[in-house]
Amino acid sequence: MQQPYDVIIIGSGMIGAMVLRELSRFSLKIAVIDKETQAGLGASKASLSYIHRNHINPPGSLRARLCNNSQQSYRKLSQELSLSYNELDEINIAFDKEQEYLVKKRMEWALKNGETSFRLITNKEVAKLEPHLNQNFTYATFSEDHGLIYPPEWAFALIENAKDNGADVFFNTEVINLQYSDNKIWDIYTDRGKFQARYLINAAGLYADYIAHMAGDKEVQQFMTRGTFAIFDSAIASIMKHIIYVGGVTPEWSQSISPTVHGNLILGMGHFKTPDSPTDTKVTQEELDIILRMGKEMIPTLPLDDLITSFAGIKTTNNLASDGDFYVGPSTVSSTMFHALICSPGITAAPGIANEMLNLLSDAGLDLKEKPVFKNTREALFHFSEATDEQINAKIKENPQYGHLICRCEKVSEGEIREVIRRGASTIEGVKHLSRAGMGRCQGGFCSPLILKILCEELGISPAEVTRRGKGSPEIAASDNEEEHND
Amino acid sequence: MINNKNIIDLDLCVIGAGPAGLAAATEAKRLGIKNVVVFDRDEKAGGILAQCIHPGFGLQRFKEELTGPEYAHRELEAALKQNVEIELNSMVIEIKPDGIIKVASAKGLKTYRCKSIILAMGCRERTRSNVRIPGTRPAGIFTAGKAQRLVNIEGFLPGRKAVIIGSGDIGMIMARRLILEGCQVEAIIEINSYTSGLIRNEVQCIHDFNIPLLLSHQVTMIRGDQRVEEITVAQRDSFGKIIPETEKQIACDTILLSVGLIPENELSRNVGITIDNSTKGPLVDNFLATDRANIFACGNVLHVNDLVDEVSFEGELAAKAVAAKLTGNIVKMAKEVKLTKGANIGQIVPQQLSYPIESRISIRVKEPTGPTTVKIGEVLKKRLPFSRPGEMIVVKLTGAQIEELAKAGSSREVSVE
Amino acid sequence: MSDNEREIICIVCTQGCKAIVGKEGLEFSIKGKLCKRGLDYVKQEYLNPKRVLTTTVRIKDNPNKIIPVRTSAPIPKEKMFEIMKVIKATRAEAPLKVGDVIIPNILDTGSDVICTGSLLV
Repeated sequence: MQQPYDVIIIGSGMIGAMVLRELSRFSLKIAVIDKETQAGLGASKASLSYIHRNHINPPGSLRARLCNNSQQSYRKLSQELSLSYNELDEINIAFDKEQEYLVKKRMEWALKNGETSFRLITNKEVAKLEPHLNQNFTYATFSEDHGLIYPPEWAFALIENAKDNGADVFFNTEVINLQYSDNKIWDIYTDRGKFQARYLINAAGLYADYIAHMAGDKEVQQFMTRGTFAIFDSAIASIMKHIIYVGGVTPEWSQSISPTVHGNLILGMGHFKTPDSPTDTKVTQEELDIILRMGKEMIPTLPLDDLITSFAGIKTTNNLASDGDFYVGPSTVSSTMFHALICSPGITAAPGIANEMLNLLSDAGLDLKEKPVFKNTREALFHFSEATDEQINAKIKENPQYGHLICRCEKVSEGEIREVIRRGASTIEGVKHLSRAGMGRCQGGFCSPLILKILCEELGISPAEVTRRGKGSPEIAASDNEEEHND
Repeated sequence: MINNKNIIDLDLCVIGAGPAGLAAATEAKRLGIKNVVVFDRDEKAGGILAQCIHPGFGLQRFKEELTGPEYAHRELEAALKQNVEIELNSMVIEIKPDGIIKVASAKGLKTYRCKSIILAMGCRERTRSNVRIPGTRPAGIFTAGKAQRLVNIEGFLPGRKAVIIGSGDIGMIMARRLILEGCQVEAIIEINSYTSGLIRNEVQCIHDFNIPLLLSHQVTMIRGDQRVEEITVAQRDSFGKIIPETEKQIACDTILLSVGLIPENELSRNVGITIDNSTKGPLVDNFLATDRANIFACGNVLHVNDLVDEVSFEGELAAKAVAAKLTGNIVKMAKEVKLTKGANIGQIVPQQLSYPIESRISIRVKEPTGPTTVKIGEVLKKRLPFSRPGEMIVVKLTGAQIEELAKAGSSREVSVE
Repeated sequence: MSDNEREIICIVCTQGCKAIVGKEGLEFSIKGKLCKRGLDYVKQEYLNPKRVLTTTVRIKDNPNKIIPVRTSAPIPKEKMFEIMKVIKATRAEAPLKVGDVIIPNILDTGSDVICTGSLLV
């Protein structure tokens, strides 16, 4: 029988990936298991992805503690792992008394949590900074250096780096049952066989309560809400330079607009609908109407015709923490299993949560011995759209496929697409999230047939085996090369 | 920084080797323009024609009914005969001022300095998000053109049970194509009370195969977690409002969207060319010149055409304009005329008359009409048995008529009544 | 319309002219304004509707390649699916140029199946 792992993490979203990467510094046998085809494609892929300052967390809460100085952690990681990380200033506006109260509260929390850049700002100043913004607000605050990332590429990079440092990674592997046996080992039953671990981390996001129940921890409950997002074409992203929030983030409402790391514009609204299940990420007519109306209210000149996609994301709160706080701590079944039950701002808190997990594991008896050699960097993914002419020409000399553009809208080359596949992407959307091919105006209209063919070549699969995002989502029905048509 | 040693000088660069670009380049060479290069990002020339394997092309230009590939073949042969240089797998990624363009290909990033540029980039398709259909985002949703490429170029079947949203020509043609390939087509769903494509396609694609055509219907929801499972469709009243009692589900695993084309003008916008909001293409004069010096536009990038024959004609006109500009052989009128839209006029191309030359004026109405008269100012009156938004009206003005319009005023109305 | 009359929409060009077509014995009765080509079309459509069929055919020894084809002349509408079946079972051999005959006189219709695209290798 194989030696059990020291730690197994269930879930490779931002939390799971961050924890795995941190654990990979130490001489431990570690692994991550995820039913998805690659990292960060659960809740992590559908959020505003801001690395918030500490104004949205009640002073004294776990959230506030774990979010402290996130920007510093992200800056460091973006250097080490060669990942996009932008910082923008934020303007928080209020159009009525209720919103004013929320904006004031956020500033109060910011100051109590040690933030120093929060201040009032006049309408006149805002008009200079964001001339397209609806200027009829009655109250506004300004704050600096809120981060912006694209989580799927971060989760991918963290997992990749951890793997480089000896971690095992199991995708397309679904946990079916969990059993804590007498000899203090977790038996993890999956659809691809049994795993064993001394310590178990539940970072299963929307499914964290399912996993908890499997382990016997029946008390845990998560409550889901769904938010809606709308992305507008990069041609008009030059309109905005700040993150704009209206009012505050309450359990019932949030409303924001900002540039994305890819140079588009994202509108975010939510979360007020209760989804039927963790996969109920539909956008209803009502939500669509509201978000577009809301966008127009914030930016009266917003060209709705430039909407390129809208989608939904699910957030959770849990019953173990109060006031919508995180729960990062042991399960009731055993002190060797830890839950990460998180809510907004989960992505901001990821580095802090990872750190917390390390402390919890160590307190629970795991010996954290630093490896003599830890590779804290990884090879950057080349992005034609971000490179200089010199860099592009050098890359094309190395490999001409980097000059052959496949995704016209986002300027993604054949070389990049093959690269992300070789590094782990195996589906149309997997390729999209890492290379950005298919994210633009035409939404894969031109490039996805070509990406399909490249996936077949690189993975040695038939066209009918290519999926959009894993099991159950075939991209086409058949290549009639392979089948006989019956009458 | 541009290293001056590495810039290649061209007399004319044509962006796009579809029917517009090929016709433009061929005519340019025929007129004696020397250094002409056509750039296309695809691996083959012919543009969208290569995947339009159905007949219906060339009735005007060649007096024969050809399939798309056959038409493309003729245009390509003509271009090769004139020694037109075509660079495939080469994408123009930027047009800078002063005719500088940057082209990316496996050979590297190259810079060209072009005396003139003809834009012939064609269109992209409207997506599901553009038309804001609520629901989930499963696999199995295709724009009709993408499905056409998958079937006709790659040999893939997109699905087994399809619904088609939109009764544009490409939707109807793909309905037929899918049925011939063994896929079921459950319905074609159209929000208007009339189809938006040609009547002949209605006969050959919908009637021939008894496909249910749901006019005045709208898709209100797409369902399916991983792959499309069903759509909800409902009837609309005469004000366009959903009639809730008529909602019904249609099970399917594939959705094709034929909901419109958008001229692909990112390059044009980025170099500051003014775009007409109704055509989504550049504002041009009757020599197809945009408002940036030495940049001309033709074909679907200028406005969505119905017939490829018109596209070829526009390409040739753009080349004539380039030749005229290079030789200084043509002079603008002292007074130019802006064409304005009367009621029920959706699009006019060209939007401005600057030269006293014979010109084709393309017009699209907003709403269908019965027997009607097209008028341009006081100089043209043409009776038509009917008009439909899906069928472009093309009228000719002589140089003399254009001069007359200019005399009458700086803007004249195009109307349909 | 009487029993033997049908409304037929002409598809020869984009105009879409309509006519009511009937036949008594050998005599056609056509109500509607049609051009010469249109008249020929509606008569044919009444007797034996024909269509030009366009599809693709696979290339021998090149499983990923297909080439577009058409029937050189309109074929009887009711034979469309049968013809599709034959074409699907066929493998064309490169090199091919526009106009090359892939299947002569398909299913005895008098029409060939010809290439509309070309393949050099």
